[in-house]
Amino acid sequence: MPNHANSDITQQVSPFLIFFIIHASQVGEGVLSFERFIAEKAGYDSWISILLTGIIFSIAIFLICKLSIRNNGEDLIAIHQSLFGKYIGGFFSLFFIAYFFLITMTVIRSYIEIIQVWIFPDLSVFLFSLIIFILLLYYVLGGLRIVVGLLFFSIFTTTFLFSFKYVAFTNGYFSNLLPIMDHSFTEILQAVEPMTYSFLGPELILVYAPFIHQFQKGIKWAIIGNLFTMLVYFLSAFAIFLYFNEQQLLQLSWPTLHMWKVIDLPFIERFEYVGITLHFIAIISTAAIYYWACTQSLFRLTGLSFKKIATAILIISIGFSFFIHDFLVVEFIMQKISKVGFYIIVAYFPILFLWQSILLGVKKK
Amino acid sequence: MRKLLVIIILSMVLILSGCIRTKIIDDIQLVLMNGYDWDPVNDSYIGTAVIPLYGNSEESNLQDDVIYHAESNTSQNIRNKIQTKTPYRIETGKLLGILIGEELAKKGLEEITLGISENQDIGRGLYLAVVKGESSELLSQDYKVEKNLPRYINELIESNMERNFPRTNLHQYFYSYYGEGMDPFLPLLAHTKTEVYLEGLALLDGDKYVDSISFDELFIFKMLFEPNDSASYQFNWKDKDTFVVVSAISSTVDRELTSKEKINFKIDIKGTVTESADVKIDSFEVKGELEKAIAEDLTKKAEDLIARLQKENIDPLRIGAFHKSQTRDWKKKEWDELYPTMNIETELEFKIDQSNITE
Repeated sequence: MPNHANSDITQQVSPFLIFFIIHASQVGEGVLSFERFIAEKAGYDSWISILLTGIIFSIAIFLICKLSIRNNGEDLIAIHQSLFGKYIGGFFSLFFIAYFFLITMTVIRSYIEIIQVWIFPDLSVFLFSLIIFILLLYYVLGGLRIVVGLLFFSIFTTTFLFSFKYVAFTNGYFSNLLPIMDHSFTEILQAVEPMTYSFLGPELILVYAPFIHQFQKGIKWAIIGNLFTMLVYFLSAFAIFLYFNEQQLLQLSWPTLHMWKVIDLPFIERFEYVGITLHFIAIISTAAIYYWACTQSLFRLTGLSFKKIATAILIISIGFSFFIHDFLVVEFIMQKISKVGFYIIVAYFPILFLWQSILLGVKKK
Repeated sequence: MRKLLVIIILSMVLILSGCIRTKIIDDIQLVLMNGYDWDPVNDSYIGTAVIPLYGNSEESNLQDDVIYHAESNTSQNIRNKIQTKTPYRIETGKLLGILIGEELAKKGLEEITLGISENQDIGRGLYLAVVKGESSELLSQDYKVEKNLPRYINELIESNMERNFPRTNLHQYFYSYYGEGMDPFLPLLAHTKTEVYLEGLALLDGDKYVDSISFDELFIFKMLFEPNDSASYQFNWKDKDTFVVVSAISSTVDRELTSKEKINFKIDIKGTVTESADVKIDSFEVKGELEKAIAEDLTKKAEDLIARLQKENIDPLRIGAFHKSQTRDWKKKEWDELYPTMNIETELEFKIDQSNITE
């Protein structure tokens, strides 16, 4: 069985794999629908917001990595403890654990929603999430290396699926994007917030940092991974903006799926069914890394058995999906959680970084 | 523990595969084409569904269709009513086209298209078309066609789109219906007792059918709307009192906003002219004369067409969308007032490419 407490070399992964971890934990359900949310704020100039968000996240990743390195490569729990003491630090860690848990839930639940709407209207949410969570448990119990293996493969499916946005470049209208910068800069900045939800993932670095062999070398890979995500989102949004005009886009819940509807391959009448099914891997890998982070943090905080914690989370999540049928509740949680994620990245980590700098300065004196 | 997990997962797969309604091809009926009409007497929609009759063997004749009619006050209920006439479930995943009767098209397509856009089974590459007369009549008649009727109509529109017909499908309809500064257009089908044919183009104002373009004018429309590569045009050379057919036309169109109220269409056309006894292209002079005559003729017709669209205040050429893309702080209200009086000019250059193969 893997040892989750001591991160010796047999438990660690190579630094370049952070590229895959970052990309896979970022690309989840959001890639199918984020275009509408940003277009609501900044119209068809919101592709600038994607670039802005990517840059903000690159800076955040740098700060996050520095946070860990300055604390001897330790994880979030240890950093919280050394910065705030046992109780207050533990409270902050608990907050993060709840956050990781809710992200796992919403990612899985919103994917089930897509399946219900597009493929099987009579799919039972409870049974399907039971299957997915047992699968996730299987990955998480295998340890981080197994999870990272899954994330490594997910990048190929998402890139493959992404290539099917080519229809927009053959059938779209470039004039949709003109005139550039027709929106004010404040509007473009406002679109950064809805965009954040699709970029969330780098905050997990602080959980898996001790598991990266020669973590310092990983920083550049983390930033490259984030920039790659930015590129994928940028081209996706570009494709959607060429293909749909603004008023039409605001009518669509999942623009990417609507675009796939016109792809007609000789062996399959419509592509969205292939797309949704293949997207499963992206969803599973995002959920798996958050599930793992949630279990790992709780394990580090309480010292209980890793297996028992993972199983307890499984039971809670399934109970969650059993009692919450209404998708509006999930959507509400999703909106709140994306706000929380936004503030974690743009406010909490920089403040934590500053606080750490102050403490380090005091200690030196 | 791990073994137990594997066993649980495998048994789940077995158990859960029975939880969802299956769609076995033998037990469902695939609608290939839908028709909708409006019955003003009863204030209700008449729906028609064409379903191919697949026999028990491969040799069975694919030309046989079953046609179901149903009448209801809402378009959604039509499917439920049709369902009462057949024991098998009706599935719309393979729909090739949706035909709208003239009466209903004049009343407005909104309710029908809303129902379509909400149905995730229906693709976006299918054709929406307006029918002269009633769609139920067109779909119910027997024609001499090689394939079954829905596939025939589907390919009729498809093959014409490669020629004189502008690109259209359900996605394009939604694109120009929702978009600002544009109005949709749809293929206009008509039928006699023995054949179905493309009559031209139905022009819509919002979701209402208001006018149509005949087949002869289609080339003018297509030339203004998008680049061509294999259209054809029949030119009436009045000076020489003869007809010249220009074929294999390739054209490009460029729009230019010269001032806030003036748009120039720059069109470059290359075409092949087939010589006839009356028209011999044997010198540069004749060639130049013919090129100029055709260019003048096309320019005049293009300007007439644009003036007509402006007068009716419909914008299937998406001039408003172009204007929007060139103007900052574009307002729809201002554009609606500007459009009918807008100064739109056409600059056209025509080149004869080659002549025919015999001397």
